[in-house]
Amino acid sequence: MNIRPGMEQLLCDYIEGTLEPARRDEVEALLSSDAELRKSVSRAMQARDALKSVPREKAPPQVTEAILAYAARRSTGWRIARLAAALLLAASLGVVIWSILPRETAAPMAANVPVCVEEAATEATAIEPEVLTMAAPPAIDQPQVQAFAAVDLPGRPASIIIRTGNDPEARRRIEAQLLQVPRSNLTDGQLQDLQARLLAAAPASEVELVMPDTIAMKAQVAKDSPVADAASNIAPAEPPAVAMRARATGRTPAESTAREMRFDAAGESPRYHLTIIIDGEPLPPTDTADTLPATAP
Amino acid sequence: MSSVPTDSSAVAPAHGAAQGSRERCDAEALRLARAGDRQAFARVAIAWQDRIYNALRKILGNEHEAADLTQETFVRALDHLSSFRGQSSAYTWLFRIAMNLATSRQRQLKRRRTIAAGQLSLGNEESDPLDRQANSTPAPDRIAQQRERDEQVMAALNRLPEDQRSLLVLRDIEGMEYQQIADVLAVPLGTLKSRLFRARMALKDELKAYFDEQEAVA
Repeated sequence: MNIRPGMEQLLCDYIEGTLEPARRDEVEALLSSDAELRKSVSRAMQARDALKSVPREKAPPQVTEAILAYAARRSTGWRIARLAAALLLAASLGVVIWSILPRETAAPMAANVPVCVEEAATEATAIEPEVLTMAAPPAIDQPQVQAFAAVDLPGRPASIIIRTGNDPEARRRIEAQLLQVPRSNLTDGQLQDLQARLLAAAPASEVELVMPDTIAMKAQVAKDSPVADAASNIAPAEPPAVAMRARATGRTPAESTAREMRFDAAGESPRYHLTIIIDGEPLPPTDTADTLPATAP
Repeated sequence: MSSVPTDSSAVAPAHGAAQGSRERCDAEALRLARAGDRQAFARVAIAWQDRIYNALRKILGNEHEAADLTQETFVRALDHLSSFRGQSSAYTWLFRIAMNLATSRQRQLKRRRTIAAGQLSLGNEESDPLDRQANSTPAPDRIAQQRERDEQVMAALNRLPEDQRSLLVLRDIEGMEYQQIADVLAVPLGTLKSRLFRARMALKDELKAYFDEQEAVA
């Protein structure tokens, strides 16, 4: 079977059914005079139909979970980078204000700075209007942040915040998942897996991995900065307070139903906190110790 | 608070008139994802993961490899969000990543098989898992006719060169338009049609025994 140059594209369109009528007639005239080519094209069309009818397969659930977990991990990284940039910016702003203002006016200005710092801790872009005259914050990598803040940034998330809104069904599914959490030290992988499962169980919820040490880092930066006195008002003491979490969501602790579960590990292992804040209608008081498996593995 | 349905049917990509809307929606979601909105990225991933998995599954002929590369596709997409300029649709952009990964993986597997064949040439005639799959004998009495045909077609597909396999999967299984395939594989339209025709002929040749049998029965 010889197919002359140019015929391949024509036959391809013929098989696909995308030829205009005049060209189609031309191809059919050719096929009627060449039995071998006719048979080939016919079989190619059958093969195409057979291929089209092969059942589609769905991605296994673990693929979804892995993708969501990676996205969450990346998101946590972005938050840290933005927070670090904002901290540097806020601290630099404080230094500038402190150095250029007369002493007698410094105190009132310093009192305003924590607002900047507080906003920065939530969202770097939120303080942009305050620093219109300053250049955009530079990208900072983890070693720079650690050097600046004089703290070690842990490479792992240490808390999960869950916001379910007012959806009771979402709460039920979330709590069902939480019942399966081993009451022990959680590894990074287990936390990420848990986050993925929680997201899958209640897609309308926000499930966020949080690193409490970033809050500690903020306090450290604030103490070292010229606005330490004022900043200390917003720097919570160790451990990261539920109030801080509630403030981040724009609510007071009384407006949120907060329950804290701690997973203490022996020896030198880090201590993880799983803090759950369920916004909206307060839930009846629940002793989390009763809702979790009582035995540690 | 945005919602992320985990069932891809709820966000199933549309064809035809709704496709433009879908593309705009995806482009906006990727823009949000670039700004750090993980739920926006999750929506795109959930919308396309099944189609990408299915295409990779057919091209690679292995479910584990397909799952691995589907995951890797979205990891790469997330890591390189800044390279998505919106000049092509999110759909073709994701498929381009997936196809590049599939090509790389095929090369790796081919090298591994070549080494294995060299090492085991005296004692192992079946170094290629795809060959094993193609040569395995299904049990016709227990498998429905449709399933048997699907298996034969998939086995034939798996015997084709990787570039022809990709073309046929994107066109016939994924249902892409010519231009979309041309964008994904970065080939001119005319070249694409010639290659597609040759791939169809090659698949037809691989299915010769099946067709002959069918005609004999008829």
